[in-house]
This record gives sequence, structure tokens and C-alpha cells, in this order.
Amino acid sequence: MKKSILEVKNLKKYFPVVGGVFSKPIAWVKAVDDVSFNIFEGETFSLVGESGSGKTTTGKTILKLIEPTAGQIIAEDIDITNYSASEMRPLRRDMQIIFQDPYGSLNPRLPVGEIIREPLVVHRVGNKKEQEERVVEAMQVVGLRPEYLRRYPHEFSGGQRQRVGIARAIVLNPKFIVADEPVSALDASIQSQVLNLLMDLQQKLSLTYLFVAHNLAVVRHVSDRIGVMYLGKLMEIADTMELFNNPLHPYTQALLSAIPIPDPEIKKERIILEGDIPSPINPPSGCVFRTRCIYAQDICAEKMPQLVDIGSGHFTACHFVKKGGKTEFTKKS
Amino acid sequence: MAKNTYIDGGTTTSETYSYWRKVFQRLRKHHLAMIALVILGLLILAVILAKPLSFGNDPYTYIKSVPWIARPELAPPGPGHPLGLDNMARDAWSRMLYGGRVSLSVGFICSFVGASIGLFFGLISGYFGGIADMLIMRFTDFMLSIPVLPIMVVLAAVIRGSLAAIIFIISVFSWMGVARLVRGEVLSLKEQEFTEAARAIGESPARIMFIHLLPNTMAPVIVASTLSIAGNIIYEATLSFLGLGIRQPTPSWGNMLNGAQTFMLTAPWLMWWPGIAILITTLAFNFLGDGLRDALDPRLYR
Repeated sequence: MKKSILEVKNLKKYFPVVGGVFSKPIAWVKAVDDVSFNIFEGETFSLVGESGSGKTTTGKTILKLIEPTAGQIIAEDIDITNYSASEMRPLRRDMQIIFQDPYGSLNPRLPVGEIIREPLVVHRVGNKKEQEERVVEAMQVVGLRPEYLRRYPHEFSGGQRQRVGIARAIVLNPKFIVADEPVSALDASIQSQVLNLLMDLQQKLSLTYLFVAHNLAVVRHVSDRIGVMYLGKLMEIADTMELFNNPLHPYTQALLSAIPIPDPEIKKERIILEGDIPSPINPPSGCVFRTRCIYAQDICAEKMPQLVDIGSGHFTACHFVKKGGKTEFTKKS
Repeated sequence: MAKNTYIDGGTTTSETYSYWRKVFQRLRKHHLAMIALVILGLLILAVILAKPLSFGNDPYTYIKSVPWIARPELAPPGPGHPLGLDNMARDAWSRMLYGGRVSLSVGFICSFVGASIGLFFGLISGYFGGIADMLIMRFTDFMLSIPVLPIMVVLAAVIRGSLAAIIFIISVFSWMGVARLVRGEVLSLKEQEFTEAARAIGESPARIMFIHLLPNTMAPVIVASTLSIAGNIIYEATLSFLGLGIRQPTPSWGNMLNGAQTFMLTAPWLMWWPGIAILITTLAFNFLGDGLRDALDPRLYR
């Protein structure tokens, strides 16, 4: 049995929508609604989904950068759900984050050497000389010239900046890193470089990743297991190969059918989703996907399907997917 | 070293880039600001070197006699006393120099203290938000709604005349602009990901404020403070002119004007020079402030 490094139970994050004269919450955006999953030591667990499906919020809530509304976050047997900022501080050595935007995530007024050194200063690792040695080491590991440590972020390209962000995340030797769409802001040619760097680092430093992304090709390349999110809920969790070869949830099937095949000869049947993703302020009753699902029946509006194990670690939240992976879909007339 | 492979990264030459050098390069293109900078440099140099530049005169000594006129009081300019003597027969040139010390230091110190108070309140208000923000900002509004001059006059009358008292009184009324400015900057900065990154590292709010937010608010604060130096010099001159500021025998440009107004018709040169000094200094600070605004924020006008 693999060791679970992080466990998320029934995590919820609702953002208030304030309005009126007294700025009282008049509604709630259900960004993350009842999400549960495990991340095992040494693996890459990916969360995929459309914009607004709550994947980034989930990642940031796990690191307590956003306070959860309800649920539990258990990091290595410690329930950190209600930890205060100061209680979190020692744990942050082991839990780091790589941000999506390599432009906004680096302080424009600090040289990159100082940016990478910050975590060491905050956690009082070594004296100044040792810290500088570790900064140089981290820069070398991510493929940045240590000579550049006095330069400022705006002197670097997007890919280089993202490497600075990665160096900052690994300099403390963490166990777990949330990679929040680390390549989606980069050029396609740089994306693969940075992805390979992340995978190399995982090998070298035995890291565990929570990888947040919306690009399925990227996700397939890096992940061991994948969780598919839609409107704040998890629709399906499975091993990467299993998910791509045997997607059971109608939403996952639709997503995978949208991946372009670089061969004009092959014609494949695409499932085109109708309409837009509903508002998370007022999600549909029952199954949140039912408004766009081609198989939706009456029961879907009445009952929210639970995320159940249908065998060998493949979880699906659909009324018509039964144990052992048998599906009983009937198309809407 | 040789084994490491680096991604390509030669966007600039080996010369290390410095933010302030770049700012100065842009400032140099702003001619008015450069003239202002030279004038201010000369002024500061002059008041620092007040003693050697005074031709052996002392601002506090009553001159017994001058060769070119019978009475030394209100003597017109002559050899050794380029600006003449004031109504108490003291050398006006050396009083200008020493008075400049007082006026300029009041201007600088009040702006510095005001900017520090404003930074403190602005950072706290913007970063923490909520109740703290509400209280601080309402207090700022309250301070801004007070008619400054009457209150300063009353305060100055109560805490009579030392240099420290004047600095205190002016500083108390010169932080609100900076506080609002900094709060606004912090509100936008704290939504940026580098603030979140700092929290992810485990940095304390104080460290985030001083390491990450403060340096990023410096540009507008420097502009506002430079401009406020001019205003503070005028406040000091106003209070001293009304006889409530720096008190005799200590010279300041303001109280020299006050002393000279009685003799406006008989010895007009006594009021020209302090007046011109105040005019030039405040103009220079305003031009410098404008130049700095352009240099620090090139996005603004280009």
C-alpha cells in the first residue's frame, strides 16, 4: 500500500458574493464543493477541468493560502484544516507552490537571487553564506546561470522566470509541491522544457506533485493519476492510462474526444458539449453536469451521484456507471 | 560547472542592471528637473557651507558700524555685507544662509516624517483591510477635512516656537496624502501572485509588508514626498511670517520676511531675498517632483 502524503476530505470553499447597502453576502460561489481525494507519496496527481471548475482554488486551499469553508485537509497524518498562519509556518518547508503566472509571481523589486533565498531566510536555514550556496545550487538545478542572481525578474524571459519560481519552490527541499498550471502561460516550445524539468526534479528530489492543468496532453505526459473536475466537483479519478483508455464519466468522455488527433485520415466521433458551464453561484440540482450531458435522465436532476470506487482505484460520480465499469447509458430522446 | 547546461539567457550585457540608474537616465532627459536638481544641489551645498560662505559674518552678531552709512540698522548692501543689514544690524546674507538651513531641514524632515507615518498607516490599512482599514481611512478623511492653516496657527501658539515643535506640527498634517496613496498601491499589490508566493513560503505579515510591498510603493511615495517638501517649506515660512514659527534670534526665511515687512518701503531688499529664496526652492522641488514622476513611472506619459 502506497503511503498517502495528503488527504482531502469533503473540501468546500464558498466565496461570498456581497451586495446591498451593508455588504452582506447575498449569494455564494461554490468554487470547490465537496471534493475528496488522496495523493500518494512520490506520485503526480493532476486536477483537470475547464476554467472556473475550482482546480486552482483546490490547490491553493490545500496550502491554506485560501481558508477552506468546510472539510478536512490532512497532510502526513496532521489535520491542518484549522491551522493558523503561524502554525502553518513550519509545515510550509515541506509544502510549496509553483504559480501559473511567471510575471506576477516574482517581486519586481528583488533580484532573483534574493527571491530564491527568501524561503531560506524565513525558515532560518544556515547562515548567509550557506544560503547563497544553496541558491546557486538551486539555480543550477533548474538550469539558470548562477551569474544571473543579481538580475531582476524583468530581465528574464517567461520560461526563465518560471524556472526562478521553480527554484524558489525547491530550495527548501520540500516533499510536496502544488504546481498551479505551471506551463499554461508559456510558449509551446518552452512548455515541454519546463515539464521535463519538473519531471527530472521529481526524480532527483523525490517530490510529490499536485498538478493543476487544463491541457490534457500536458496532463497525460506528467501524471500518474488524474482527477477530473467540473463546477467544483470531482467527476472521475483514475490512473492516467485507465482514464485515457477507459473514460467512464460522460464529461471525461467529452473532454477526451476533444483532443485533436494529428492525422487527417482518422475520423473520430466527437462529443460536442452543448451550452456553457453553468454559474457556480446557482449550480444545477442533482448532478451538476446534467445540463450538458447527452445521457441525462430524470434521476440526474434529483440525486447528486456520489464519487464511488468502481474497481481498482477508478472513481466515478455518475448514476449510470456501475461496479466493474459497466455503463448503462441511454441517450436522451 | 562545465557539466551544467543552462537555458539560453543573454538578454542584457554583463553589466548589472540597476533600477535607480535607469531612473536617473530617464530623469536626465527631463531638463527642468535637471535644472531644479542643480539649483537644489547648490542651495544645499550653500547652507551646509554657511559658515565659510558668510565672509566672516555671524547671523547673531549686531554690527556696530559700517563705513558707507551712518547707522548700521537697515544698512543697504555694501562691501562685506552683500545683502545689507537688517533692522537689528545683523548681516542679512549670513542670516539667509543659516535661515536656509532651518527652512530646508524643516522641509526635508517634515516630508520624511510625514511619508513614514503615511507609509505605516497606508501599509497596515491596505494589507489588513477590514476594521483597521475602515478606522485608519476615516481618520485620514477626518484629518484631510480639517482646515490646516488655522489649526496649525492655534497649535503653534500653544506649543510655542522651538524647531522641534514646528516640525511636529507640520508633520502631523502632511501624512494623509501618502497614506491614501500607499493604501491604494498595497490594495493592488497584495492581489498579485508574489504576495501569495510570500505567504506560501510562510512569511509573516510584517515581512511581506516591508520586503515585498514597501519597495513596490516607493516610486509614488518619493514623488509625493518631493512635492510635499515644497509645501512644507511654505507652511514653515507662513507660520514664521505670522510670528508663530521659528522665533528670533534663530533665522528662517519665513521670519526674515516677517522682520522685513515693517521696512518694506525703507529697506525693500530685505524682503526680496528671502522671498526669492522661498520661490526658487519651492519651484525647484515641484519641477524635480514632476521629473521624478515621469522617470519613476515611464508608463504614465508615454
